[in-house]
Amino acid sequence: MARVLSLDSEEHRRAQELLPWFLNETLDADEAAGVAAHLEQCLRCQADAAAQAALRAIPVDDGHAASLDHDWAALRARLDTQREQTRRSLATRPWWRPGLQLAVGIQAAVILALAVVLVGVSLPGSDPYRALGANASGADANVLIVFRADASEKDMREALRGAGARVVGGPTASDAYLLHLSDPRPQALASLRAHPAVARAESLQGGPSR
Amino acid sequence: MLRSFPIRTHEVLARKRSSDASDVALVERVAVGDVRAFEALYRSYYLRLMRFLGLMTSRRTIVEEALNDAMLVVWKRSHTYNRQSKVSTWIFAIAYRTALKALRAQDEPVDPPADEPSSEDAGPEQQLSASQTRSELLRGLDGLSPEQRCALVFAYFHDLPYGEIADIMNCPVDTVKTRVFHGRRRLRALLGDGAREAER
Repeated sequence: MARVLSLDSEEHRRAQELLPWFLNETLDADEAAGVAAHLEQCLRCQADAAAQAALRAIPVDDGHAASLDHDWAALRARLDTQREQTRRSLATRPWWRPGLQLAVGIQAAVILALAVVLVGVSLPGSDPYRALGANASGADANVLIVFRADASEKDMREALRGAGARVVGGPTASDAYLLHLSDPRPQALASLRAHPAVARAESLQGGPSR
Repeated sequence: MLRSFPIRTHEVLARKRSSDASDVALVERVAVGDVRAFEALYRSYYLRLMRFLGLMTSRRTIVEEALNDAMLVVWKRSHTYNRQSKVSTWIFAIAYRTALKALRAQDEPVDPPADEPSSEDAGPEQQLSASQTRSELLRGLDGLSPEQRCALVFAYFHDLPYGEIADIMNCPVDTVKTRVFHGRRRLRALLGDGAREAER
């Protein structure tokens, strides 16, 4: 028979706390059994459960389905705008910038080559001089990367610099690039993957894939 | 009386697991820029997000904007989804943070929707229509803190377990229980006698 229990009892307090989840049926079996047993004998909790059940029954959806196509079209337009901006930023880069980057790259390579020659001369027994065209194993691609379609060139540069990576090949037919990651540890790859501009980054040396 | 609260069936749980698996597959396709997968995900979550955001803020224009803002974050951050939570938890966590930003930006007091009469228009002897009841509910929810409001909306109108609500709101489970407990007491006080009648 139902009776009014002390409102201060631990059992009552716990039942009160769990009532919303008893009603939405997401409690585990032990919790649900405890609340059900308490409800059997607590008039206050029975009334509270009935009031909460009525509150849950209030129709809260307000013809939202009618706006779905309209709202999707609005979001799709925002996506298209972002992609267009990215495309334009790549297309309107100053003509001299790629050339300048190439010149700086060649200059850096020459300096590096001179440094290698000097070190090779000064350290007897060290690795022999290797020409620029030679396949230096340290410069091999060790990561395959796909940038997000809406990533800007600035984002890409930031991602590469942040991870200490440089492009050594690509784009491939699937718009992937080959990178050399100077730090081959998993943390460096994870940092590259975490960048918002990166859609996918995979190690070419085996190990766990994304 | 207790038999009026049915036990969750295995079929419902099995359906939910199946939905989780297809959601994960969609998010993985979104992560490589698949717009069609994104549209499928958008359509799948649209009504649930509308319901959540519509109860977090009663301004329709803000709701629509917040929904698309949240889904744009889903598009941009899909590569960060790590399967440690359900896709729905991850998406609702994004929507929750977006809703908080929208509420903070919402300086002016919230008016009742124009097409929904306020409680003063209905005499105590009149039975509240569904739209009036919803309007009263929104008015009551407006009186809660955003955190209380969110926890209560997820528990009552999305049937989420307290653990999942805690994951979405990034807080301890006990905090969720406390927010819902105090939120519903305050909601009852704010709804007043007319709405309490509607509850019965």
